Amino acid sequence: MATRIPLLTFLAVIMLVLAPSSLIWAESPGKVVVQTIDEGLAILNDPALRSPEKMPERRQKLWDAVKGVFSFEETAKRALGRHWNGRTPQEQQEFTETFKNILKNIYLDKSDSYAQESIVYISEMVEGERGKVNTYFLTSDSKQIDVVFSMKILGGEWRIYDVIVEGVSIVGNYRSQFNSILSNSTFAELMDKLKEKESEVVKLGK
Amino acid sequence: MVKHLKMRAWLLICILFVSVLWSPTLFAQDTTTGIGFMADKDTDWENDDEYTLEVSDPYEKWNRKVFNFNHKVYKYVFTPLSKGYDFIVPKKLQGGFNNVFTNLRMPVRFFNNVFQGKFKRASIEFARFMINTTAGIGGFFNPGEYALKAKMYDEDFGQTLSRHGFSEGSFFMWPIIGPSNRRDTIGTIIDMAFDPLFWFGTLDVVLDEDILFGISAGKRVNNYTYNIRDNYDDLMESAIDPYIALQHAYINNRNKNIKE
Repeated sequence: MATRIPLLTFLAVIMLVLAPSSLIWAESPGKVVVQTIDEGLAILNDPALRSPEKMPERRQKLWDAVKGVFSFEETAKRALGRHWNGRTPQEQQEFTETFKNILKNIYLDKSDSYAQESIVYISEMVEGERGKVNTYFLTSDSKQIDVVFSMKILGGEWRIYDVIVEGVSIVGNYRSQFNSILSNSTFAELMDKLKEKESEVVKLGK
Repeated sequence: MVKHLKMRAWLLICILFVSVLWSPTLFAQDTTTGIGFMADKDTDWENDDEYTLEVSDPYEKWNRKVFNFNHKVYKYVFTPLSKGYDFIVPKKLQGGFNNVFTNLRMPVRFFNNVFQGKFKRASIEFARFMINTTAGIGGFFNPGEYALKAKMYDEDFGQTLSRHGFSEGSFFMWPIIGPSNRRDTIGTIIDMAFDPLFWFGTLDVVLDEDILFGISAGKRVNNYTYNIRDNYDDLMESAIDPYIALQHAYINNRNKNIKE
């Protein structure tokens, strides 16, 4: 025993020194996506959570299961693009929170009408600290919907910052909208619009 | 009978002519940048190539007006109609009708695969049509999908034009029809020439004009209900600037289909 512990420590130190980045410890992005979605689908398929009065509970469970794998800050940053840097930290934070809340409520609202969908993993691509995971969803009426997850290693773990559905990126879609709005309005006016949308979609969840 | 044929042919020619006159940069090179960060080594989020999308929209003011008009038509006419249709026709049946119309459009996919040099895909499309028309009872079922183990190769003339270096041109919002651009407008018109439904009406022997009108209307309602309504509603619900959201979604979805 006495010799084993120093040996392990030695190995750990060597690995830390040799590791080029946090890459070694991060799992493959495809695994992270599949695991998260399987967890989410397990909640959606749970017969105990299917009745209408259970919907708020199901949403909460679903949110708790998947929120950790998304990086909403990264999503918000990219959606705002070149306009992000000119903003104060408070503005950035307020923007991120509002944007996150909008996305959260829209997608949780969709989960209520979930009907026996399944996900099929196709492939993953990794380049440095970024990766893409190609999948498709099979709906109950056997429509195939191509979904790509864009991911990045943040804090040593693979996190999703964008979802591309049938070629349409969520980040890109919002970026186009924000660019258009900011080309003839102020940031404060954009925030007003976001707040308005936020209150609109929060109502959906009730 | 002949009158109808002539009218249709004239309509086609006129619209084509207008489309060609539309812009002098008709054969300009496609300048859209590729998506996918694998191309750029820059991992900085701000200069991310992944989201670079240049849209030519000189008619934006007009387009936005048409968009607002369309939105009202969808909301107050199409959607109520479509909800009624949903109530009467179960989803499985809608899926079957969708298969029939998709199957019937085989010539469009077949010829456009050929035009793009995708001969194997064209032959698969033809085989699928034969299987689905017979074993699939007029295309209602889709046994070809399993028999051929190949997905549908949905090519249209807009994609063919793109393959041959035709730029997409200005974005354009058509009344009722919705988002398009110069290339896809021309493509849609050409595709009509390959669509059996378009020609059925001109030959009274095959189908009476009234029946054809009914079928076309049914096709539209079914397509809107089965393929479009929910996606459109979702997009509108999540959008801050709905016009731009729809424009971005249209262009990117088209670009994806062109690449495939």
